[in-house]
Amino acid sequence: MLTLLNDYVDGALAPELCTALETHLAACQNCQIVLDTLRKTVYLVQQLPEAPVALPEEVEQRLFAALALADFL
Amino acid sequence: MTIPPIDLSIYADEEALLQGLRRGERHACACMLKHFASRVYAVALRMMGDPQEAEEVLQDTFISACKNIAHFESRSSLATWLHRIAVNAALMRLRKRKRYEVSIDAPIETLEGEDIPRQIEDWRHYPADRLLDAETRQVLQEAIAALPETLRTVYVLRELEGYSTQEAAEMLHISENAAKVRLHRARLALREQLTPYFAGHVAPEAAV
Repeated sequence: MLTLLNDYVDGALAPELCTALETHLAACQNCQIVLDTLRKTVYLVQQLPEAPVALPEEVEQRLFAALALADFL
Repeated sequence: MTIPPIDLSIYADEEALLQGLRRGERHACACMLKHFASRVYAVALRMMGDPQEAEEVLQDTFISACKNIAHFESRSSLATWLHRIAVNAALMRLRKRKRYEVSIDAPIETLEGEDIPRQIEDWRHYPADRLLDAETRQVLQEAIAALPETLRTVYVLRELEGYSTQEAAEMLHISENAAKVRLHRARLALREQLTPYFAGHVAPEAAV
């Protein structure tokens, strides 16, 4: 069931299994919630790389030092 | 307000920066760091799940990039090239780490009982149609970092770094099926971890 849900989320499930799964989902509230929150998990995580990450100042200083470029900072 | 010692406008575009790098100009190297270090650090953080090791990967990446700039063939962008070097540097460190650690989570390549969903609270309506706010990002990053390493590596490569399941499998020297199972297990584990937080943040009127 869980592999099915994952494949379904990826759009990688065979059409006949999709139909079977959708029939089950229509009657099973819990599975529907698990599917939707699984999908949401995937979606939320995929937004992460878009978010800027600040380079801590001391990390930057040590990086420049490691490359003998400290005089540029 | 002091003028930054690095004049980022010296190199008009990436091509000019590359030429500077190939000529071995220190200024070009400093420019590359200024431009790309935060992105590389982000990749390193996602791959390692630990700031200290991420910093080591960051340094490895740029040391390697400066040394190998002659091999860069401009078929990809500098950003893509650096991304790949960072991923490889992270994988190398992860392999080294493994050698000294006795893994307590031997990879299980089938979906087992522990993967059965326990949390059925509904947070489908958690608002996520805008940029993730800082708190949500933090929660997600911590949850990913807390995944067992065997799951996390596949997961990050596939879901965050843009590799296919097959590519992730090849990078980790495991079968594609094993990669797929780990990916699925990671997603389920994450969903479990995130549920208590997100279910608590859904506005009651939305959770119908």
